[in-house]
Amino acid sequence: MKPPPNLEILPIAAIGLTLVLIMMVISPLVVSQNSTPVNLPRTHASERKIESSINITYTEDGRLLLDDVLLASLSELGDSIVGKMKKDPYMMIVVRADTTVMTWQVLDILSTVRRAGGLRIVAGTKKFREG
Amino acid sequence: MWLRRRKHQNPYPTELILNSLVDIALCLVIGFMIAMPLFFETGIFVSAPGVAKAAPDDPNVSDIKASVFLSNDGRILLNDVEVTPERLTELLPKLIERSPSRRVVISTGDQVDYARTMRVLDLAKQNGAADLALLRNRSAQ
Repeated sequence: MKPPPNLEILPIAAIGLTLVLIMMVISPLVVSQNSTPVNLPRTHASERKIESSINITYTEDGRLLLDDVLLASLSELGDSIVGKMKKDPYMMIVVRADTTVMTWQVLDILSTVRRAGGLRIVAGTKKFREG
Repeated sequence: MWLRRRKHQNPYPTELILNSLVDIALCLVIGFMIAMPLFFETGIFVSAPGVAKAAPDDPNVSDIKASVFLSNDGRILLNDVEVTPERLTELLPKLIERSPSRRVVISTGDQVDYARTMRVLDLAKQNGAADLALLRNRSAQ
Protein backbone atom coordinates (compact mmCIF):
# COMPACT_ATOMS: atom_id res chain seq x y z
CA MET A 1 0.00 0.00 0.00
CA LYS A 2 1.35 3.40 -0.95
CA PRO A 3 1.90 5.89 1.87
CA PRO A 4 -0.25 9.04 1.77
CA PRO A 5 1.39 11.97 -0.04
CA ASN A 6 3.14 14.34 2.29
CA LEU A 7 1.77 17.81 1.64
CA GLU A 8 4.11 20.58 2.77
CA ILE A 9 1.74 23.10 4.27
CA LEU A 10 4.28 24.87 6.45
CA PRO A 11 5.71 27.14 3.70
CA ILE A 12 2.21 28.12 2.59
CA ALA A 13 1.29 28.95 6.16
CA ALA A 14 4.45 30.99 6.57
CA ILE A 15 3.82 32.97 3.39
CA GLY A 16 0.17 33.51 4.27
CA LEU A 17 0.94 34.73 7.75
CA THR A 18 3.71 37.01 6.47
CA LEU A 19 1.30 38.59 3.99
CA VAL A 20 -1.26 39.09 6.72
CA LEU A 21 1.32 40.75 8.93
CA ILE A 22 2.53 43.05 6.13
CA MET A 23 -1.01 44.11 5.33
CA MET A 24 -1.82 44.68 8.99
CA VAL A 25 1.21 46.94 9.28
CA ILE A 26 0.58 48.88 6.07
CA SER A 27 -3.17 49.43 6.34
CA PRO A 28 -3.15 51.76 9.40
CA LEU A 29 -0.47 53.88 7.75
CA VAL A 30 -2.63 54.26 4.69
CA VAL A 31 -5.86 54.93 6.49
CA SER A 32 -4.56 57.18 9.25
CA GLN A 33 -3.57 59.98 6.86
CA ASN A 34 -7.15 60.68 5.93
CA SER A 35 -9.28 60.55 8.98
CA THR A 36 -11.80 63.19 7.85
CA PRO A 37 -14.41 61.35 5.83
CA VAL A 38 -15.06 62.79 2.39
CA ASN A 39 -16.95 61.37 -0.53
CA LEU A 40 -14.10 61.46 -3.03
CA PRO A 41 -14.68 61.26 -6.76
CA ARG A 42 -14.13 57.79 -8.17
CA THR A 43 -11.81 57.50 -11.13
CA HIS A 44 -10.30 54.75 -13.22
CA ALA A 45 -6.96 56.50 -13.59
CA SER A 46 -4.68 56.98 -10.62
CA GLU A 47 -1.05 57.91 -10.33
CA ARG A 48 -0.43 58.83 -6.75
CA LYS A 49 2.22 56.94 -4.87
CA ILE A 50 2.33 56.37 -1.15
CA GLU A 51 4.54 59.06 0.27
CA SER A 52 4.32 61.71 2.93
CA SER A 53 1.96 64.43 1.87
CA ILE A 54 -0.01 67.41 3.03
CA ASN A 55 -3.71 66.63 3.02
CA ILE A 56 -6.18 69.40 2.37
CA THR A 57 -9.76 68.34 2.87
CA TYR A 58 -12.83 70.24 1.71
CA THR A 59 -16.01 68.70 3.01
CA GLU A 60 -19.55 68.73 1.71
CA ASP A 61 -20.57 71.29 4.35
CA GLY A 62 -17.78 73.67 3.40
CA ARG A 63 -15.25 72.93 6.12
CA LEU A 64 -11.63 73.34 5.12
CA LEU A 65 -9.08 71.18 6.93
CA LEU A 66 -5.35 70.94 6.66
CA ASP A 67 -4.10 67.59 7.91
CA ASP A 68 -7.36 67.22 9.84
CA VAL A 69 -7.02 70.64 11.50
CA LEU A 70 -9.94 72.96 10.83
CA LEU A 71 -9.01 76.22 9.12
CA ALA A 72 -10.95 79.45 9.15
CA SER A 73 -10.13 80.72 5.69
CA LEU A 74 -8.17 80.22 2.52
CA SER A 75 -5.59 82.79 3.60
CA GLU A 76 -4.93 80.72 6.71
CA LEU A 77 -4.46 77.73 4.43
CA GLY A 78 -1.99 79.68 2.32
CA ASP A 79 0.04 80.72 5.38
CA SER A 80 0.14 77.14 6.67
CA ILE A 81 1.24 75.79 3.29
CA VAL A 82 4.01 78.39 3.05
CA GLY A 83 5.35 77.19 6.39
CA LYS A 84 5.26 73.56 5.33
CA MET A 85 6.79 74.25 1.92
CA LYS A 86 9.82 75.81 3.57
CA LYS A 87 10.68 72.42 5.03
CA ASP A 88 10.16 70.50 1.80
CA PRO A 89 9.21 72.40 -1.36
CA TYR A 90 8.53 69.19 -3.28
CA MET A 91 6.13 67.69 -0.80
CA MET A 92 3.00 66.31 -2.40
CA ILE A 93 -0.18 68.20 -1.64
CA VAL A 94 -3.36 66.18 -1.85
CA VAL A 95 -6.59 68.10 -2.24
CA ARG A 96 -9.43 65.89 -1.03
CA ALA A 97 -12.65 67.55 -2.08
CA ASP A 98 -16.14 66.14 -1.79
CA THR A 99 -17.86 65.28 -5.07
CA THR A 100 -20.79 67.58 -4.29
CA VAL A 101 -18.79 70.79 -3.98
CA MET A 102 -18.49 73.21 -6.87
CA THR A 103 -15.44 73.09 -9.10
CA TRP A 104 -14.69 76.78 -8.54
CA GLN A 105 -14.39 76.13 -4.80
CA VAL A 106 -11.76 73.48 -5.47
CA LEU A 107 -10.04 75.82 -7.93
CA ASP A 108 -9.85 78.46 -5.21
CA ILE A 109 -8.02 75.96 -3.02
CA LEU A 110 -5.73 74.94 -5.88
CA SER A 111 -4.92 78.58 -6.60
CA THR A 112 -4.14 79.23 -2.96
CA VAL A 113 -1.88 76.19 -2.81
CA ARG A 114 -0.13 77.21 -5.99
CA ARG A 115 0.42 80.77 -4.77
CA ALA A 116 1.78 79.39 -1.51
CA GLY A 117 4.46 77.54 -3.44
CA GLY A 118 2.91 74.10 -3.90
CA LEU A 119 4.45 72.36 -6.88
CA ARG A 120 3.09 68.84 -6.77
CA ILE A 121 -0.66 69.02 -6.44
CA VAL A 122 -2.85 65.94 -6.55
CA ALA A 123 -6.62 65.80 -6.78
CA GLY A 124 -7.53 63.09 -4.30
CA THR A 125 -9.66 60.31 -5.71
CA LYS A 126 -10.70 56.79 -4.99
CA LYS A 127 -10.19 53.95 -7.35
CA PHE A 128 -13.34 53.08 -9.22
CA ARG A 129 -14.57 49.57 -8.63
CA GLU A 130 -16.39 47.92 -11.48
CA GLY A 131 -19.65 46.18 -10.77
CA MET B 1 0.83 -9.47 35.31
CA TRP B 2 -2.08 -7.08 35.51
CA LEU B 3 -0.04 -4.57 37.50
CA ARG B 4 2.52 -4.38 34.78
CA ARG B 5 3.06 -0.82 33.63
CA ARG B 6 1.55 -0.23 30.29
CA LYS B 7 3.75 1.29 27.72
CA HIS B 8 3.04 5.02 27.61
CA GLN B 9 1.37 6.10 24.41
CA ASN B 10 0.79 9.72 23.45
CA PRO B 11 -2.87 10.02 22.55
CA TYR B 12 -2.18 13.12 20.40
CA PRO B 13 -0.40 12.96 17.07
CA THR B 14 3.01 14.55 17.12
CA GLU B 15 2.53 16.31 13.76
CA LEU B 16 1.37 19.89 13.89
CA ILE B 17 -2.01 20.29 12.24
CA LEU B 18 -1.73 23.44 10.19
CA ASN B 19 -4.75 23.04 7.97
CA SER B 20 -7.04 25.30 9.97
CA LEU B 21 -4.27 27.84 10.46
CA VAL B 22 -3.62 27.98 6.74
CA ASP B 23 -7.32 28.34 6.07
CA ILE B 24 -7.60 31.28 8.43
CA ALA B 25 -4.44 32.94 7.11
CA LEU B 26 -5.51 32.62 3.50
CA CYS B 27 -8.99 33.89 4.30
CA LEU B 28 -7.42 36.93 5.98
CA VAL B 29 -5.16 37.54 3.00
CA ILE B 30 -8.10 37.37 0.60
CA GLY B 31 -10.15 39.62 2.88
CA PHE B 32 -7.37 42.20 3.00
CA MET B 33 -6.81 42.02 -0.73
CA ILE B 34 -10.47 42.76 -1.37
CA ALA B 35 -10.74 45.44 1.28
CA MET B 36 -7.49 47.32 0.67
CA PRO B 37 -8.52 49.10 -2.55
CA LEU B 38 -11.49 50.51 -0.66
CA PHE B 39 -9.19 52.04 1.95
CA PHE B 40 -6.60 53.32 -0.48
CA GLU B 41 -7.01 56.80 -1.73
CA THR B 42 -5.33 57.58 -4.98
CA GLY B 43 -5.13 60.78 -6.95
CA ILE B 44 -4.39 62.53 -10.20
CA PHE B 45 -1.71 65.16 -10.57
CA VAL B 46 -3.14 68.44 -11.77
CA SER B 47 -1.76 71.80 -12.75
CA ALA B 48 -3.16 74.50 -10.56
CA PRO B 49 -4.99 77.40 -12.21
CA GLY B 50 -2.01 79.70 -11.81
CA VAL B 51 0.17 77.37 -13.83
CA ALA B 52 -2.33 77.05 -16.63
CA LYS B 53 -2.76 80.79 -16.94
CA ALA B 54 0.92 81.47 -16.79
CA ALA B 55 1.85 79.11 -19.60
CA PRO B 56 1.77 81.09 -22.83
CA ASP B 57 1.22 79.50 -26.21
CA ASP B 58 4.50 79.19 -28.03
CA PRO B 59 3.95 80.36 -31.61
CA ASN B 60 6.92 78.32 -32.80
CA VAL B 61 5.44 75.06 -31.62
CA SER B 62 2.50 73.70 -33.51
CA ASP B 63 0.40 71.88 -30.99
CA ILE B 64 -3.07 70.50 -31.16
CA LYS B 65 -5.01 71.82 -28.26
CA ALA B 66 -7.42 69.80 -26.23
CA SER B 67 -9.55 72.29 -24.44
CA VAL B 68 -12.72 71.13 -22.72
CA PHE B 69 -15.31 73.48 -21.34
CA LEU B 70 -18.13 72.27 -19.11
CA SER B 71 -21.02 74.66 -19.04
CA ASN B 72 -23.52 75.14 -16.25
CA ASP B 73 -26.36 73.80 -18.39
CA GLY B 74 -24.61 70.48 -19.00
CA ARG B 75 -23.12 71.17 -22.42
CA ILE B 76 -19.59 70.11 -23.27
CA LEU B 77 -17.45 72.15 -25.64
CA LEU B 78 -14.35 70.55 -27.08
CA ASN B 79 -12.17 73.22 -28.68
CA ASP B 80 -15.21 75.48 -28.81
CA VAL B 81 -17.36 72.91 -30.58
CA GLU B 82 -20.27 71.38 -28.74
CA VAL B 83 -19.99 67.63 -28.37
CA THR B 84 -21.93 64.91 -26.65
CA PRO B 85 -20.26 62.98 -23.81
CA GLU B 86 -19.95 59.96 -26.13
CA ARG B 87 -18.34 62.06 -28.84
CA LEU B 88 -15.97 63.54 -26.26
CA THR B 89 -14.95 60.02 -25.30
CA GLU B 90 -14.16 59.34 -28.96
CA LEU B 91 -12.41 62.59 -29.83
CA LEU B 92 -10.40 63.38 -26.73
CA PRO B 93 -8.06 60.36 -27.07
CA LYS B 94 -7.42 61.30 -30.71
CA LEU B 95 -6.56 64.85 -29.78
CA ILE B 96 -4.26 63.77 -26.96
CA GLU B 97 -2.58 61.27 -29.24
CA ARG B 98 -1.74 64.00 -31.76
CA SER B 99 -0.64 66.56 -29.21
CA PRO B 100 3.12 66.63 -28.45
CA SER B 101 2.60 68.21 -25.05
CA ARG B 102 -0.36 65.95 -24.23
CA ARG B 103 -1.93 68.77 -22.33
CA VAL B 104 -5.62 68.95 -21.65
CA VAL B 105 -7.12 72.18 -20.40
CA ILE B 106 -10.39 71.85 -18.55
CA SER B 107 -12.46 74.88 -17.68
CA THR B 108 -15.89 74.99 -16.15
CA GLY B 109 -18.77 77.29 -15.45
CA ASP B 110 -19.34 78.49 -11.92
CA GLN B 111 -22.12 76.01 -11.19
CA VAL B 112 -20.40 72.83 -12.30
CA ASP B 113 -19.87 70.31 -9.56
CA TYR B 114 -16.52 68.75 -8.84
CA ALA B 115 -17.63 65.21 -9.70
CA ARG B 116 -18.44 66.23 -13.27
CA THR B 117 -15.08 67.92 -13.71
CA MET B 118 -13.30 64.90 -12.31
CA ARG B 119 -15.05 62.60 -14.79
CA VAL B 120 -13.53 64.57 -17.67
CA LEU B 121 -10.20 64.71 -15.88
CA ASP B 122 -10.31 60.95 -15.45
CA LEU B 123 -11.18 60.44 -19.09
CA ALA B 124 -8.23 62.59 -20.17
CA LYS B 125 -5.87 60.83 -17.80
CA GLN B 126 -6.98 57.41 -18.96
CA ASN B 127 -6.21 58.41 -22.52
CA GLY B 128 -2.68 59.46 -21.80
CA ALA B 129 -2.88 63.16 -20.95
CA ALA B 130 0.41 64.19 -19.41
CA ASP B 131 -0.62 67.56 -18.11
CA LEU B 132 -4.06 68.35 -16.82
CA ALA B 133 -4.69 72.03 -16.35
CA LEU B 134 -7.75 73.34 -14.60
CA LEU B 135 -8.96 76.83 -15.38
CA ARG B 136 -11.28 78.90 -13.27
CA ASN B 137 -13.56 79.96 -16.08
CA ARG B 138 -13.65 80.22 -19.79
CA SER B 139 -12.44 83.78 -19.95
CA ALA B 140 -9.13 82.60 -18.55
CA GLN B 141 -8.46 80.86 -21.83
